[in-house]
Amino acid sequence: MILQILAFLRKDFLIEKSYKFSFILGAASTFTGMAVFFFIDKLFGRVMTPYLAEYGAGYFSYVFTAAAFFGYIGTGAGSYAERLRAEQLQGTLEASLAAPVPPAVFLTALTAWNFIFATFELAIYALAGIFIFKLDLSNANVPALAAVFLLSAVSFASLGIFSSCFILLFKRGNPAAWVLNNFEGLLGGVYFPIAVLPLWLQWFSKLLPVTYSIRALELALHKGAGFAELKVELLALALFALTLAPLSVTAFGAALKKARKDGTLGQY
Amino acid sequence: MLIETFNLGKIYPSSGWLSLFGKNGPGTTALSGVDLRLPPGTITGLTGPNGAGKSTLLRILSGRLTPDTGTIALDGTEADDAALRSRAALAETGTRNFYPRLSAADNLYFFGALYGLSRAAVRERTDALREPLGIGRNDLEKRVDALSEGAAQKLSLARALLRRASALFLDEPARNLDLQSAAGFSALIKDLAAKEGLAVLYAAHNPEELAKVCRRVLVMENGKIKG
Repeated sequence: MILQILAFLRKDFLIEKSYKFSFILGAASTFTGMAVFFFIDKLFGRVMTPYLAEYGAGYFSYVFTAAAFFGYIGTGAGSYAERLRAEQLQGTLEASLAAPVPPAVFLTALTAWNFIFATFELAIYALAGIFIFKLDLSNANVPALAAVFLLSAVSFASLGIFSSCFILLFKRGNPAAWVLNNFEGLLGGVYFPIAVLPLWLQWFSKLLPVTYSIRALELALHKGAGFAELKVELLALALFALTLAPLSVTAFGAALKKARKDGTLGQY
Repeated sequence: MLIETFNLGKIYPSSGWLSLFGKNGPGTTALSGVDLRLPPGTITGLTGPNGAGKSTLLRILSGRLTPDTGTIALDGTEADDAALRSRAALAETGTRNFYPRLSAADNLYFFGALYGLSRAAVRERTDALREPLGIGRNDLEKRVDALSEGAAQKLSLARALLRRASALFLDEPARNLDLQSAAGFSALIKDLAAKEGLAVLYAAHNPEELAKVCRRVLVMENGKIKG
């Protein structure tokens, strides 16, 4: 298992390294994106403050940390389908799956590089936030944050695995990704607290794991909220994680079996 | 390893809109009632017109495709896809199913690792295969997207031979090879079959190519083995 995961990691690192401009341009766009929110805060920050009072943070602090976190856990949601599609287009998916690699190991190996790179990007975000944009993260409750990260990562990875089942079977047209990309940002509290939304939309927000993730993150980071204060959010995330994780891996195994039966594994 | 198939059948489902709702049309029959016996240490040829079902049979025997009917037995024990994938290797021609931006060597390291082979083991095996397959040392360091068709074909063969599988399925293995490399490959396959007891099924259109390598040749047509 370790040899196989390391093989994927080495392969993906070598491929990324061969695209020399990609990393530099990605890093540059990260900073410009954050600068936009910085100046929005400067322009409108006072108007947003009542909705942000419970988090103890101004708009820029809120959105910077939420966007950074969303980008990280979004790796889980997006990278399974993205990597699977890349393997399909290169013609390497069937050859890779011809090896006796269990589906759970394959899925872990497939996105290991994405997660490692996302962690690196998150560290850059954090350093930029602290040293360039002067964010105050001194109240952060680290154990609670770790729990939020872990449960959120598992929940989003599971959603990503569900999404990859569509890629495996239908190649293009991914309704799971469509929902994730179009609604999570709007309804999840990433760019503004969900309290800004009308009540009927807030009900939909409560169905999304990202809503609990962002809320728990912001409270743990800016107000130092611990396990007791975050029990509702952590329980919701735990339920999402414990339910979605085994279901998603089972669904992937079933999709793989169907693709082998239909003879479409090598198609794109 | 003795490989036997009993009444093997495969119908590819239709791909219309109704298939989204589980309503499939008649589909395409690729294999029908195929009974086959591949003893260890032998090379069996397989020929037939385009669309006869040769590639489908090879893909089922290597565990990449699930049959709809029939069974496959390895040494007398019924085997599923997973068992076939772990014990059989397939080399397909005409497909560049490698990572184009990696070197040939890095591709072999990657696929070898998926089968539990260390870099040292892959290097050792590749060194042993280089001469019979006619793989130049320079070709191993080149990116796959810079390889010629023949070099890519040799890489595909090298990948299939990296691990010591019990069965080897070859789909037009010599198609893009020069005469010297084709001869080297034929000698290598005969040697491996004899020394390691490989059961080999070798699909090709060229009867002369099959005659040089195979003890017997089966003819497929319309999804069935004739005779």
